[in-house]
Amino acid sequence: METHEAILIKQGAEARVYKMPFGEGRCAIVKERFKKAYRHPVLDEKLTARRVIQEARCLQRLRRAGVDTPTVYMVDTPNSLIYMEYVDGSSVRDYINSRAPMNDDDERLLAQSIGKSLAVMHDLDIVHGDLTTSNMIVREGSQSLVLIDFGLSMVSSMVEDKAVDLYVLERAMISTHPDTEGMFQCILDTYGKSSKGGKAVRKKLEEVRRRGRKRTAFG
Amino acid sequence: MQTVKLPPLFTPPTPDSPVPSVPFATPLPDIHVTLFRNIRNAVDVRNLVIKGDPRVPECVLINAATIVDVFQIQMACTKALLHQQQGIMRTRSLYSEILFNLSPTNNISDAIRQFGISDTTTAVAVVMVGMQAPPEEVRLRLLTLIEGEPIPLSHLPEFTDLPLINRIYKTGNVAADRGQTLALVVGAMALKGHLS
Ligand SMILES: Nc1ncnc2c1ncn2[C@@H]1O[C@H](COP(=O)(O)OP(=O)(O)O)[C@@H](O)[C@H]1O
Ligand SMILES: [Mg+2]
Repeated sequence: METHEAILIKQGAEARVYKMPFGEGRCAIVKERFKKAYRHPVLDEKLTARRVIQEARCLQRLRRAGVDTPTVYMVDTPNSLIYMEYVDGSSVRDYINSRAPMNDDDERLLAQSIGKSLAVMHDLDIVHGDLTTSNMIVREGSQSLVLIDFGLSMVSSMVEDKAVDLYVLERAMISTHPDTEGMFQCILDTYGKSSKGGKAVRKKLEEVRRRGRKRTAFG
Repeated sequence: MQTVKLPPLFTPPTPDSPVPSVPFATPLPDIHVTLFRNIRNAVDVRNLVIKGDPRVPECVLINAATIVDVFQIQMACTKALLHQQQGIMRTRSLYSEILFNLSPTNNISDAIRQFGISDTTTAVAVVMVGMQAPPEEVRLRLLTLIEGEPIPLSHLPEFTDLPLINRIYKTGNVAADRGQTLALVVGAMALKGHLS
């Protein structure tokens, strides 16, 4: 990419994401969280700054714990920006769709790495808040699973919060990919075995599912 | 002396007009890095630096043992220039700010002690931001100041003290290889003071 500009790759509700060249042989993603005009300006600035740091801190804590995440290059708090490594690869969403129906081995390996990463993440009391297959990237080459987008993350040790995190992923997978129940089951099995609180979270997930079904049945 | 470019800074467009691409603002000045090894007069150099002696050109001397990759220096400089523009530097000069930015904590004297030249340092990377005088003149001044051997920047990795770096940045046992270490180091610099 020989550009002298940053290219907008996603305009979301809370943030804009750009890709830009970042010196020799590097590209960066710049994520700009924008302030919401309708809130109190001073308060809003503080909240936004805190969110930006929270997001970057999750990336770094996970990386330090051995979970692959984009390297944090720089945080520009006054402008609410995170500069991070551009991860070359494809989102798990595209990865699944491009391979449908997926080879059993590929599917199992991918599910296991997702399950392991989520287990480490929850053991650090990081709740992602937006687990979807778009927020996971399979690195080109190493095929390593990279977790991204901690914009809605929170720190929580509550079993309930972790179970809801998994439930969000389950719903997202069912709605974006047909026939991935088996894959989600494999994610859960690995998660249950790898996470310290895995059993309790899985048990809680059953309850969250029941509540979810009730809500869709009567709501 | 080797010229190293800094990555561009991103200037956000006005909030309510999403645009498909954003041109970069004026580029940052280049940095110029000279690597010295087998330094014999570290004590003297350090004293002159502390005194702000006019024989010392405007530069920062970085203990090469604390550097994993030039990218680490580039990030420290980029952030120093950004904070200078924004008027939020934490130290008195751009050059002390660069040392400060290398550190994962907010303690200024620790940063200077760990990343600057000390009495036992034998290899340093001398970094200048922009160029105030003709390069040849600057080179001569450095050679007069530092009794050591200037070598190409490509030798930088030979001086990395990985155990020291793992201690300073608390990279833990994950940092098995250089690439991983660099990622953790740069991340720790970016999150300075915000990691428990
Ligand atoms: N570090 C990264 N490397 C490569 N692509 C990325 C990276 N971060 C984000 N993206 C791409 O940008 C999209 C949006 O970024 P994300 O952080 O998920 O923001 P949002 O909160 O708007 O979903 C991602 O789905 C992904 O395609
Ligand atoms: Mg996203």
